[in-house]
Amino acid sequence: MKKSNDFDNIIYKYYKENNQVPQKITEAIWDVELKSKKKKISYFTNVKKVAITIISIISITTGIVFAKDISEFIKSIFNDSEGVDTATRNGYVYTVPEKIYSESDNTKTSITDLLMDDYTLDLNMIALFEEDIDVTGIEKINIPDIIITDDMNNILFSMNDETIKKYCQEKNLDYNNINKINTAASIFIAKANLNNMAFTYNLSTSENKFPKSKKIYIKFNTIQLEGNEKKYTITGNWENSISVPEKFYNRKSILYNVINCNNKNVYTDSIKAEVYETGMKFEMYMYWGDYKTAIEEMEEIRNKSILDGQLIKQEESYVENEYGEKFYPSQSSDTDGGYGIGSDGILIKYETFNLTKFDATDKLKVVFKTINDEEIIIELAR
Amino acid sequence: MEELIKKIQKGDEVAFKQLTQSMEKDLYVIAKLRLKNDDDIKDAIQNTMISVYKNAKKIRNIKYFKTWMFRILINECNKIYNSNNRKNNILDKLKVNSTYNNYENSIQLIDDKLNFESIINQLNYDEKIIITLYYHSQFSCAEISKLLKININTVKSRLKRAKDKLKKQYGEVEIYEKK
Repeated sequence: MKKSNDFDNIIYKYYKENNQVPQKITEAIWDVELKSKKKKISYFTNVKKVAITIISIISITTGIVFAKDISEFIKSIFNDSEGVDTATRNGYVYTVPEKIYSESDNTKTSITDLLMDDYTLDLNMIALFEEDIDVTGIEKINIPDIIITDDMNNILFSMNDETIKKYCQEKNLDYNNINKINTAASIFIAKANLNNMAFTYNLSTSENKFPKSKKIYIKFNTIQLEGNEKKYTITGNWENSISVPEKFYNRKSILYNVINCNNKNVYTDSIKAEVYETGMKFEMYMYWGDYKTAIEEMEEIRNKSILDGQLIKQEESYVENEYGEKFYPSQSSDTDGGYGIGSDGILIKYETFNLTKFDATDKLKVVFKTINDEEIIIELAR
Repeated sequence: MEELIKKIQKGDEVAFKQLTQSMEKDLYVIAKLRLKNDDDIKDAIQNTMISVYKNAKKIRNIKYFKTWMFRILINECNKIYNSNNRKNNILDKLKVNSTYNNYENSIQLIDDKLNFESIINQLNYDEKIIITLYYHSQFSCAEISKLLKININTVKSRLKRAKDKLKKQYGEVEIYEKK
């Protein structure tokens, strides 16, 4: 053994000999845009780093609003997923008993319905415009400066950073440390007649859960309307708020454990299965096999049929409860499902199913169909 | 260095990049204690640079510039580490459980026993960072105390504990090599 007074030198020597910096780090120092915003650190961006290629990986779409086909808007309250419909049918919805309007520039807005759980926030609103604005035939609505926040100053949704900065200034909050939920959103018009309009916001998150908010605030200054050869931009200052009912903020999801799996390549310890009010999130890791072979196999089949060219076919995946009812992937937003395969041959599968807390039984069975038409069956229990 | 810092405070980007490059070995080694992946290290260093550059004017005593920058780096690394944590835990488990990697792992274990890096890696993070800041970046105990926001006596005791552990492990490896 070395003498202890030599030991400091051993440590110094070790560090002197082991401090090589990879070229890419040196380059990164010179390439960095110092006036840009900091890169967002998220779980899924890091998944991307594991893989050389990611197929159909989730997209975190902060602040981006998707157009939504309103032709399907028939009876459902929010025109969201089947899971949301199940929840609303079971009373998991709040309809405001007496509308409270925010009025500015002769235009009034109000919140009419709300649904909130860990991954979904749906809001119905109405707008009453002044008489010379006829919204009949209007097909598109855009509210570019909307900011949705809660009683704990969480940013639940906003499309641009300037709005958030303004909010932080008003509230005296540190912009760099504000909690902003990564939210994907869609907005659509449910009804447009004369000077009345009803519209809906569907917000969803995958990476972070929505907080247990007790009050939600909606603030905006611009409403853009378009359609039927008409175009309006209405400006004002609208501030709506809604108290969140206890059933929403006291929500609790159900976690399931694996009791059996028919495929030895699935790492059962990695499985995360969570049932909440409007859906079920599922995530698993498995060893797929040689990465190159998998990609080649996929490409070969994909040339014939894109749907069949998925390593795990989303359309044929489902979760089954103890009554034999099957619930399929929700696909209600871009953040709902997909998979990624890494160069190490490990496949990460995540999915949102339309099974809700209202359909859940003590045991569940998740079934995935692979590219080779093999079934991966995972049995779960509360 | 003081001249560079004054230029940085006036918004000189090149000066800031020069200064950062002069510290790149320290930054890299510290970040590597927390993060395994070079892409993550790159993100942590770049985010640190953006924060430091943006707030450079606010620092009054420029002799603490380096300490301050390292503190921001450590925070950035912790953010990425926490974000990766769940995934890494799962992947680590997979590596242990997977029959595909067992052979490779056992070879790696034997190799690891023979190098000092593996001995350092056996320390916990709190010990590793103190040892690295002290021996690699050559900060004093007082500076480390400021940087990590812990009491100077805690720094000294952790440094001693870490050294004792290293010495013990090093001795064991030497005996192992002689056999």
